[in-house]
Amino acid sequence: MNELQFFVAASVLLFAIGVYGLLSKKSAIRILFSIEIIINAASLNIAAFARFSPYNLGEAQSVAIFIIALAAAEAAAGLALIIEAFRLRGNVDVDEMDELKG
Amino acid sequence: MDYLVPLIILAFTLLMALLALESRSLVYGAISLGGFFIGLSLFFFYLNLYYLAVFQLLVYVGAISVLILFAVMVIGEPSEKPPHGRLGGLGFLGGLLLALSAVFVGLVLLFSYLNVPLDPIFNSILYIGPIAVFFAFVILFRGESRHRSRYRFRAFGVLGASLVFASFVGVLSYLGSLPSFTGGVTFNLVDLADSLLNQYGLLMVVLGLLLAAAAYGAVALAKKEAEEP
Repeated sequence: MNELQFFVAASVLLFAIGVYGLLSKKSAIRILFSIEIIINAASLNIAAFARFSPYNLGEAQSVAIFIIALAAAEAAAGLALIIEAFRLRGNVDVDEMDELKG
Repeated sequence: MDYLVPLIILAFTLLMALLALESRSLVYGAISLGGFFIGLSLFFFYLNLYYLAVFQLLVYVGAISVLILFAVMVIGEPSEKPPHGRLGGLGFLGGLLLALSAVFVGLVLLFSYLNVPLDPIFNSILYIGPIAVFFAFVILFRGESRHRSRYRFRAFGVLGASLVFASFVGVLSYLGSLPSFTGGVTFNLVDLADSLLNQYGLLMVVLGLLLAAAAYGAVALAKKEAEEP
């Protein structure tokens, strides 16, 4: 097993944990945690491939930095949505958010 | 034995990710998520991507974790029964200290086995450990019994923050004392600047606009409506 495989495996494990949380949790905040975990797993994957490929490290790092900035925007908007949902309904249980259901 | 350091980081990161999802209290979940972000940045340090690692620390641990903690504060704990462990209060603190010292002893053993210089660990322990423990106990015992839980929380905060700081100091001096990691790829800050400003300059501007829009949208969503008279 070379080092790249190790990091890809680590990234897969983290991604799996994130998907598990995304599917099994009811609280919207936990689902946001899962999304953050998934995004970070992807960023680790990119970083590992960047490190063990012959291209320069600056370019790969800029891609990962873009991911981080996008995740920051997503977290801010998502948390604001969660707070708004909490204000409207009194809880953040996604099982009860079914107003769009036909 | 080349894999020991990344294996330790991986175990820490996986543990923190699982705790973030599975811990009963939402506050502890948010703090564990911060630990998960720290683990990721340790990975980046290990991969020699220093700039990315520092960026991760700044944005995720510094900004997003705090944002999530504030959101958890607004929302509050879920209405189910609040968790309380079998060990309450001082017993728990003592257990925590014991576990921390066990971890430090284990790290010292491990590093001496790996022929890694021990200075980083001793730096962290000597400079930060006693101060943190002292302050934690001062804060803990100054509190009246009525407000004990609040002071206990502060003590844990001091302990946790100093632990994070200590590990940061340790990692930095560890990196400074290493000759080099595997592979011959070196990181050049000029490459990063060139790629961010020349190659992806337009993307950078678009990203800035997106961030501004997200911040505006977040404020607009979360702003409290003015009371109608």
